[in-house]
Amino acid sequence: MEHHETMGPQHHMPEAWLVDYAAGTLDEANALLVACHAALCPTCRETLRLLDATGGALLEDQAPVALADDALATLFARIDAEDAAAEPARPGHRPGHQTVDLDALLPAGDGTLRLPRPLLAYLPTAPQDLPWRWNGPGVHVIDLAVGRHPGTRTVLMKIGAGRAMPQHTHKGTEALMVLAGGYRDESGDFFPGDVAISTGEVDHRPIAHDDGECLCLAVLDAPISLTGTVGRLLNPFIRF
Amino acid sequence: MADLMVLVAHDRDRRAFAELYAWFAPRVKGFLIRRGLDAQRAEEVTQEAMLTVWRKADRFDRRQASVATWIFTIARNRSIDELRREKRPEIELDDPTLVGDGLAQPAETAYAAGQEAERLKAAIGTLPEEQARLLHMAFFEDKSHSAIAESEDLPLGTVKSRLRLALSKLRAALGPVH
Ligand SMILES: [Zn+2]
Ligand SMILES: [Zn+2]
Repeated sequence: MEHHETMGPQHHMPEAWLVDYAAGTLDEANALLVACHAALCPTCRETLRLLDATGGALLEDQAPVALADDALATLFARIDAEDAAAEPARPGHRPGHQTVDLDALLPAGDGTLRLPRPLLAYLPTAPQDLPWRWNGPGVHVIDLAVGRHPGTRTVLMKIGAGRAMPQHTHKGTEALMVLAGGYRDESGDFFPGDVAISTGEVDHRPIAHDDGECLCLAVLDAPISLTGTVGRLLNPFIRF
Repeated sequence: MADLMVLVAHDRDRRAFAELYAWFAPRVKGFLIRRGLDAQRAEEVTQEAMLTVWRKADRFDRRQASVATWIFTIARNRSIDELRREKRPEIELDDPTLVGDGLAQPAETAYAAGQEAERLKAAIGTLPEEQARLLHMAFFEDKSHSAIAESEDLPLGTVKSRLRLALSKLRAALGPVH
């Protein structure tokens, strides 16, 4: 289980999702996934830079629509008014960012573990206090509140070292990214930053690598359904 | 344009800002109308976007993006808030978890981003009609690739492969700056 550190992730965000992210049409949950992947993936980050530049070029080509004649004067007046209303100096830190020790999140595995910053704003508590919920043997999850897209779930998922998710397929699309550790399923090995998009055509049983817990961020637009013999019995109890 | 931004950032130069405003504000307004805002709301949001340009001028980094690109990202983010009431999780180049350089491809000169923009515009102009159309729909009509597939009555795979082709052409047009 070699980890290709210098190359960045091997399994990328589909380019159509990068386009949606750059154009601003991707829902917040999947946009979070793109932002987290991009933090760990120089290749997709460069594609996003190209796409932003494309947006800029298209903006320049956009047919202009006149504003009110006094629009600029109005704006300057607003700037003057705001400046005059003695603004209290803003503190340097940005809201939503927690400055806790993230290494405490996963006791096992890589001691240098950190979570991509876009994710931090969505954690309900400090990472070491996260209210993990049991979701089958060896599997713990937390639902995150991300965006307003109806029917979309964003889940932080932790699979114990060497433990397996139950065999399952998907009623919709499951987009999953490894944050720490790694897992293996029918389609290969996945390491931090790697993305797997699964639909109803995929029936898999992800197993965390033996060398530590596997932490993943998943976005689902429909429930999964368990397909193994034991799984079918568990279906009513495992809420995915 | 980048020189004007520098004047705005360093000297709070209102004439420089007025020049930027004259070029960009009507385009931002047009962009927001095409994305689905009514004319009045588009004008208000344009004002807010241009206010951001004034307030955050010192965040503009000419090595990283052209002025048009930077203003596009501001207008885009405002429109997400406006149209969907959602936030936009952003990549932060000073994120300590970042793998690789913050600037994925550091521009070799301060003017590289501007040159890149020119080449990119030319490349967009030479894209086959069906690819250019998809890009326009994605960026201007607030349509995700699956919404485009639906409204154009195209298989999802076709939309994806056209977008992929368009991107590889744009990438090739930029190439390494020498
Ligand atoms: Zn990638
Ligand atoms: Zn799955």
